[in-house]
Amino acid sequence: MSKYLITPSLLSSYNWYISAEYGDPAELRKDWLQRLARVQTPMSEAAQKGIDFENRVRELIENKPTILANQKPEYIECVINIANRVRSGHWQETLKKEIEFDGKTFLLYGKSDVIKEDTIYDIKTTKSYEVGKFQDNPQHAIYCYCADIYKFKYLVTDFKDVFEESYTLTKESALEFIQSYLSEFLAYLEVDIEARAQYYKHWESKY
Amino acid sequence: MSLITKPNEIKSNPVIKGLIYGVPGIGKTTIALSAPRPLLIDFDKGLSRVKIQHRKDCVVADDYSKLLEVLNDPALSNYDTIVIDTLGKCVDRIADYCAKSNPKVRQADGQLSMKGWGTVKLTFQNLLKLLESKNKSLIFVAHESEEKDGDMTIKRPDCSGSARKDIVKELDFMGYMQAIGDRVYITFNPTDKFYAKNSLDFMSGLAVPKPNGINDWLEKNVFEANFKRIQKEAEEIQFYDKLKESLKDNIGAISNAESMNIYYSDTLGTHDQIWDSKIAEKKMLGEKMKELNLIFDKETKLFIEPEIITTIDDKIISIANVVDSEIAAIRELTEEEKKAINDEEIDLMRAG
Repeated sequence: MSKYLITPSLLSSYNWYISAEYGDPAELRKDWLQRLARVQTPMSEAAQKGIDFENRVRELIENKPTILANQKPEYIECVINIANRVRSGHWQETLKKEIEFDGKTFLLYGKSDVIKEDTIYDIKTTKSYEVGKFQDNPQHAIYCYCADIYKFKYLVTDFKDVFEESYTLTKESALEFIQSYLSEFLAYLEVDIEARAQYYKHWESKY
Repeated sequence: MSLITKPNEIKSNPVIKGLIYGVPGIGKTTIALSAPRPLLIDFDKGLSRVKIQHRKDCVVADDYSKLLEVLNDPALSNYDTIVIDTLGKCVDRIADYCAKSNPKVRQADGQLSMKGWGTVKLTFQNLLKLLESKNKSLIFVAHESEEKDGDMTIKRPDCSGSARKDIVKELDFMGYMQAIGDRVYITFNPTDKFYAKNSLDFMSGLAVPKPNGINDWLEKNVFEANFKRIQKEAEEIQFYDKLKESLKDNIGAISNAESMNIYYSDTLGTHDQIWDSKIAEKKMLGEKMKELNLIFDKETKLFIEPEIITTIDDKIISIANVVDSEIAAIRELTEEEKKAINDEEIDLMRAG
C-alpha cells in the first residue's frame, strides 16, 4: 500500500499559500503547485543566509575552520551563543514515523538540526522576531512525535540577538496537533483537484 | 565545597523572572504580590487598589532614582521577589530620568529623540543586569495594549520603545490575565490573540481564584510547580547519566565481531530509553564498529571481520542505517530515491 510523505516544510508551504493576503494570486498558485510538484527553484538570499549561519555554528562546535572574520561582532556573538547551547548534541538526525489517518498511511519525515539530551533544537534565522512566531509551525509537533522526545526549542536569531521559543508537548498532544494539520490539509486536497493530483503523484514515500 | 554544580543537583530556591499583563482592575498586582516574600516597586500607585489584607511592603517610586536606591539598600535581603508595577510606567520614569540627566535627549515638542530612546534602552538594559545581580525573583506587571497585524489584533504588554522586546527574551514566563465569564485565567502559552511565554512548562490556562485569606497563588502554582519540575528533571538527569554510563561500559566491553553480534541481537534497544539515549547508543555502536574495523552483512544481519566477506562487499551497509528503528525498511536506494531524500533536506533547510 502506498505511503505519502508529510514534512513540516510542506505543511508550512500550504499554510503560507492558504493564508497569503498579499501578492499576485496567480503567482502564489503557480509557486504552490511547483512546490507540490517538487520543482527545484533557486534558493533565496534569506534561506542561504540561514544555511550559512547554521554552518558557522557547526564549524565552531566541531573546531573546523570557520569564516567569521568578516562578520560583525554581534553576528559572531549570536554564533557563539547558539553554539554553546547545542554543543555536544547530535546533528542532522533523520526523523520519521508512520501514521495512519483517514484510511491512508503517511510517513512523517524530517531532519532535526540538533538533538541534545531531552530537547530537539531548531536554528531559525529571521529579519525580525516576535514572541510566539513559531507557535503554529508544525515542525515541533512532527519532530517531537517522530523522535519520541517532547521538548522542542527554536533558537532564533536576527543576527543581532538570540531568542528562544520553547514548546513542551506530550505524545498525545503532538499527535493531536499532527492530526489536526493533516485533517485540514487533506480536506483542502479534496477540493483542489490539481493540487491533489500533484501531491499524490510527487509525494509518494520511497521508504 | 566545589563551585561546580552538577545538572542533577537541585538549587533549593531557583530564581524566576516573569511578567503578568492584562486589563486594569483584573488583579495583576494582587497576583504579583502572591510571589514569595515580595517587595513592590510601585510606579503606578497600584498598591492602593489591592485589598488591604493582601498588601505587602512597598516603595512608591515616582522617580527612577528611588528604584536604584532601593536596589542598593541592605534591607533588600528581607525579600525574595521584586515586583515592578508597571513595566510601562517604569520605562516612562527611566525616560524622565534620562531627560533630566541630559535634556538634549528631548525634542522641542517634549518627545524623546531617537538618541533619547537609545539612552532609555541602554538604561533599561543596565537595570535588568542590576536586577539580575541581586539574585531575586522578579515579577513585572504590565497593562495590555493592542497591536494590529492586518485584520488581526493581538494583545501585548504595554510599554514604550524597545524595552518590551529586551525584557521578553529574559523572562521565564509571560502570562496573560483575562476574565472569561466570572472567572479570571492566566495563560502562559501564546495564541494568535495574545503574546505569552512559557519557558518553564507551566500548565497553560490556569484559573486564578480570588484570594481568600492567604494570597499565595504564584508561590504555589508557579514557584513550587517550578521546584517540583526541577526535582523531576533532576531525577531524569540522574537516570539518563546512569544509562549513558552503562551504555558506555557495555559497548566499551565489545571486543570483536562475536560480542558485537551478541550486543546487537540481545541488548540493543532492550533497556529503558530516555531522551536521546537511542541516538547516543547508535552513535556509540557506530564508533565501536569503526574501531574494531567490522562490517555488517545485511542479509545475515551479522557483524563480520572484513576478510570473511570479500565477495559480498556490495551487501555492506553502515551501522547508522542498520540500527535505525526501521531496520526492515533498509534496502539500497536508487538514484531517484537518493535525490528525493536530498530534496527533503533542501526543503527542510529552506523552511529555516
